[in-house]
Amino acid sequence: MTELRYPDAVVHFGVFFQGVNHSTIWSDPRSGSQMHHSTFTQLVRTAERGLFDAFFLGEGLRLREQHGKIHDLDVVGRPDALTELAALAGLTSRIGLVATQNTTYNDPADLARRLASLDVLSGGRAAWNVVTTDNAWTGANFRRGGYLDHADRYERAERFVNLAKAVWDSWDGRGFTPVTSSDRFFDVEIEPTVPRSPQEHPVLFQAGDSPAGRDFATRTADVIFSRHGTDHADALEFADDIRRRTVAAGRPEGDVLILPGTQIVVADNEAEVEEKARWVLEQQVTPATALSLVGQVWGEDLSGYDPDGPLPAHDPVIADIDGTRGAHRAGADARALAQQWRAVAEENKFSLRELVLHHSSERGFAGTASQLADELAFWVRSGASDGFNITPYLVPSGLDDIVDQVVPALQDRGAYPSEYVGTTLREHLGLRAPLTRR
Amino acid sequence: MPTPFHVFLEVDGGGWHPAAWRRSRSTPDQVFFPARLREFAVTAQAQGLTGLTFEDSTAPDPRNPVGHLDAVQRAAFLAGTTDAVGLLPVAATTYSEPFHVAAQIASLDHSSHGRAGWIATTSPARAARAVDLPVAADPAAELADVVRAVRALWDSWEDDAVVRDVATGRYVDRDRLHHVDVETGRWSVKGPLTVPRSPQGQSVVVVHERDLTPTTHADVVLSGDEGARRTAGGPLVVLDVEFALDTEAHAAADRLAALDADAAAPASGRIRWSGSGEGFARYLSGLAGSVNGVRLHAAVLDEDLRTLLRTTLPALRVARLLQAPVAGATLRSTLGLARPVNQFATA
Ligand SMILES: Cc1cc2nc3c(=O)[nH]c(=O)nc-3n(C[C@H](O)[C@H](O)[C@H](O)COP(=O)(O)O)c2cc1C
Repeated sequence: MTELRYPDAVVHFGVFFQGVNHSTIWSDPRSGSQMHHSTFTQLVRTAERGLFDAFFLGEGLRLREQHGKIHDLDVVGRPDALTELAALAGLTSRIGLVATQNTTYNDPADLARRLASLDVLSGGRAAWNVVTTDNAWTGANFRRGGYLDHADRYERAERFVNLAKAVWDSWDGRGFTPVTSSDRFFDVEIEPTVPRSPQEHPVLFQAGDSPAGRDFATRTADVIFSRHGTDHADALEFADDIRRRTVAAGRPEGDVLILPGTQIVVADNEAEVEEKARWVLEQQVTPATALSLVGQVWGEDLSGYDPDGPLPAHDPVIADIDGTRGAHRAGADARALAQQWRAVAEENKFSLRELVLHHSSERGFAGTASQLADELAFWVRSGASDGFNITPYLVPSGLDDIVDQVVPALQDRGAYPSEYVGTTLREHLGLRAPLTRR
Repeated sequence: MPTPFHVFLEVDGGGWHPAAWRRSRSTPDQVFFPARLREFAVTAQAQGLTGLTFEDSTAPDPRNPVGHLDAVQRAAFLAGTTDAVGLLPVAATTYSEPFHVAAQIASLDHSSHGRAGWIATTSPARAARAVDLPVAADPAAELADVVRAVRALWDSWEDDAVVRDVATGRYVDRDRLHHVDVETGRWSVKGPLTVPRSPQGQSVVVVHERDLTPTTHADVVLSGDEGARRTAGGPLVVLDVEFALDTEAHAAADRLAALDADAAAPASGRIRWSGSGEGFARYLSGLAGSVNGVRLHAAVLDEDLRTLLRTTLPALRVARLLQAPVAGATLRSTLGLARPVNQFATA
């Protein structure tokens, strides 16, 4: 049993509306439009009723393709994050509004300004989830094209974020001072026009897992949106690594919060929990999706294969999994992975789809409300995370049972707030002043 | 029934006069308060105005020394709390990413259920420094290209591209999604957009007369020329009118003199009118025969709006010139513009 390092810690919740992805079940009759404004409104209001800290939107700047064709099996299409969040700012009063925005295909002058505008309009509830995704394929949608070397993306990201912070700091209460920079990435002179918000800066989230990404986060961000949200030992190892890096960056140990993305399935008793979790998994990994995921590893269109049959007998036609098209496991050695998958399938007598279901089954938490409250509180109190960024598998109703059942169970355990303590996102998260203003 | 006449209200900053913000609120940043924006939207909608416009500049300007919040953000902020009034932000074209602009305006159209317009403007040369791009040789030509790219991106999804076909497992019909492959010689855009086609198909594109080229595809042209006339089949013509009205305490001329003493108003290229609220109504009625509408810029929003609401708008209503947009109507339908056919539509 892991010790409870933080016995009084409370769980922070965010909701991650992914948009493009394959874990939102769109085929169910309860599934609403992924675009209609009422979908966003209903979800954000439920989250605010449940005292969630934040409402998150993801971003992708090119529609995903596979084998040269637009990928058509998953949810496709979503609103521009900052524009949608501004609309939600007008309909909510407390919840934080987090926009995922890329540092490669934006300009600091423009993005810093739009984030600051959302921050002022929302009364200090804006946040930026900084992502660095770069590839020439996405760059084809932009003026400068795919101009950035992969090795440079975090260097550009850090300069970008620091420039944005300088823009936010340029307001002295009466006017602005221009912000200039001349380095390899940004030779610019920016004339800011947006005053500071009640939380001074938008809160900064970072999502990226490499050592460079982790160092970037611990040097510049307030919160990490991680993918370590299913296995406790793995999450604890990640959190300890982040705490080490935070201290190495000259900051107090707990200065960077960790909110892993995760899925939560709630049901009334053990039998129903198992049945519901299985149902969710099978809806997410349809036979066509299973063929598509295996097709990413083999590098070819396998849609003619039998999902209930074996994996392809031949080796993948590619060496590495294509990292440019939104594939899972991008960059991995395709042949090695295929060999490993065949071994697992043989050993367990799995069909192609059963193998994919097996690999996809570790997505998060499933349980009764009281089991979930115990488990989530344990995660936070043992130091594995500061809370969770929940990806609903159904939209817009997917938070209902979490807010109606899990939140009260957490509150009963003293592991969840009973009201918003402040009005800004920075206050909800218990963050100190922005790094440049301490 | 008179020809429909459309009244738009511009709500950036304290008003068109550079000294306006000193009149309206005690501290400069109060002009940014979200509650104030919401008040304008509620008023404009209740008064039956066709739309609110949101001027913008990415650089500080003398007319509005306290700055600006991003116009698209302001328009979107009002989308969910209004249901009839049009929302028309400025998004400049000279140094912006056409892909981002297309996504932002399409999103505004989605969240407002079809009430988005886009005022496409050129940017001053100094804006190039903020993004490290070469100064554009011909900003108007750049604008025409960006409008072309944005319109193509708006059409890159056909209306019924989301099929949600449970039987085949397909969420979209990929044959109804299109790469746009716009090429200008200076930049290109691949597409499709990441945002599905919006309720209006294409949001209403508004361009200043001074930024037009023969190839610019605008739905509405903003003009500062009193001699401007609408033409059959051409874009709608909307006159930009700056006004200052008599208030209970002060004549318009005295108010303007006092404002000018604080800060001189530079020439704006717009029509400038001052006098009584009733006189303003007569002036506007006179325009109704020649143009499709006006965009009103108050000298001091907080002061001039009061007179406008009390005297000018009621007189226009009596003359049946103000036709309130219907709740749920799109901006296009309010303006009598057809929903465009998708340029990529397959049979
Ligand atoms: C939990 C999580 C969520 C992410 N969400 C997005 C997203 O919405 N859009 C995006 O472009 N990239 C997203 N990313 C990708 C990262 O920005 C980054 O490009 C990627 O993780 C590779 O960086 P790394 O090598 O540091 O991990 C996400 C990453 C993680 C870990």
